[in-house]
Amino acid sequence: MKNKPHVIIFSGYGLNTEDETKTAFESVGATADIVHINELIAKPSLLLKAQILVMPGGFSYGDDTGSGKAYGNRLKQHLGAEIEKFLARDTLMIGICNGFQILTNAGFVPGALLTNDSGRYLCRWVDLEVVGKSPWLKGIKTLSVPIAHGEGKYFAPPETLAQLKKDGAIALKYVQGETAKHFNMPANPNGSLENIAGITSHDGRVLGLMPHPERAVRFTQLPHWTYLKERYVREKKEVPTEGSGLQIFKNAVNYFI
Amino acid sequence: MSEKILDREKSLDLNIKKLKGPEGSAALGEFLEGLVERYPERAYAPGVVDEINANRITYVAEHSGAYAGMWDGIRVGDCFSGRLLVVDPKYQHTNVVESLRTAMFNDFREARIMVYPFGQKRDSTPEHFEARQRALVRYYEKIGFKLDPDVSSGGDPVVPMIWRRSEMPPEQQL
Repeated sequence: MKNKPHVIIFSGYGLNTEDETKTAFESVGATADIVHINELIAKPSLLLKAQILVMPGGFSYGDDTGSGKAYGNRLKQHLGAEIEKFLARDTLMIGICNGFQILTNAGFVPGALLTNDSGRYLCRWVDLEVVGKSPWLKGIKTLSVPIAHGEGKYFAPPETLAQLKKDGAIALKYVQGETAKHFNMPANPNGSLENIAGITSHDGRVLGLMPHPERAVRFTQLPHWTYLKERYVREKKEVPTEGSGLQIFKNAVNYFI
Repeated sequence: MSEKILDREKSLDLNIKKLKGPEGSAALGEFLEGLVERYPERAYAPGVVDEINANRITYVAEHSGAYAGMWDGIRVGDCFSGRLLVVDPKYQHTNVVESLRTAMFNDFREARIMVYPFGQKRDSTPEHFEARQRALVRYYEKIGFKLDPDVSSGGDPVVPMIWRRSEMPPEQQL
């Protein structure tokens, strides 16, 4: 494919990060539409126009029956077969935060996201190490991105975890990087099994992750960017303009060019 | 807590039970399924993974042998991390929430919830959303919660709220 890809970003029932996700994709050259899940259920042929599907973050159904549970059920029951057809093409799909919870509940990636060990909603920045192979993560070694969730503790039964390791499908792990060190915070914010922050389907084309790369597309979004800027200036280094999350969106677009 | 804290039209003779793990899950599924049959626009998700059930507590209000309401959550130490408070609409304006709350407050030192207006219509405006959220916050304040000063929503449209037994007036400390 020579043209830049078209992205469909799901919306509805409390998903709420569609706009910044759309902006992130458009900033790297993709075209993107925000489409309510009911429109896609009514007209699944809309999926034929897309090369990338996104389950964005938010609070679908208010998280009331478990984060992503109800939306995941709706997705699976009404669009499961259509999305399987979509994935049978050489396409990409990503679930971010609530979108990751939706993808696990719908069965597109294994495991579950449970209540944080602290029992609290958490909003902070985390550092990630890329440990798996995925078109989404090509060339990326580390990332610093924010999280905002109450149920982000990744869990999988031992046999599922073993299969994930065998497939190389553990994509991202929480590590004590620049941001966690600067703010003296633990690497793993929520008690995730083996520090897992993101996983992929066995072929790497479906990525689910709890952190929000769409909220880390500009350097000035970093919580300590002024400190870092000063450091770069003193070290006579170029001050970056991009946040590390942007490369995920670039990778997705470049996959189709 | 016996004081009248909510406007209600009638007081029912409720049977309050505390279910643990999969029993709570089964009751919640049965309750919601029944609700959804009568109120089909209310989506729900049946079942939860065993790992969730390991720490799950579901307070169940029964009336005349039928479910009237439930408060579902996760035990994290001495804290109840609330997920779903649901009342069958035909039992609204009764003492269901008050009774569930009393049972839960009896068991925990602390309870946390995230307030988010559920079931927004597609043509809802931000003003609708904010008005509903303010109303929900006022409601939870009435039943004993306050804004949680220790948890930031980070700009997300949720309101973290907390109840602490130690902050209740001495005569109300259960």
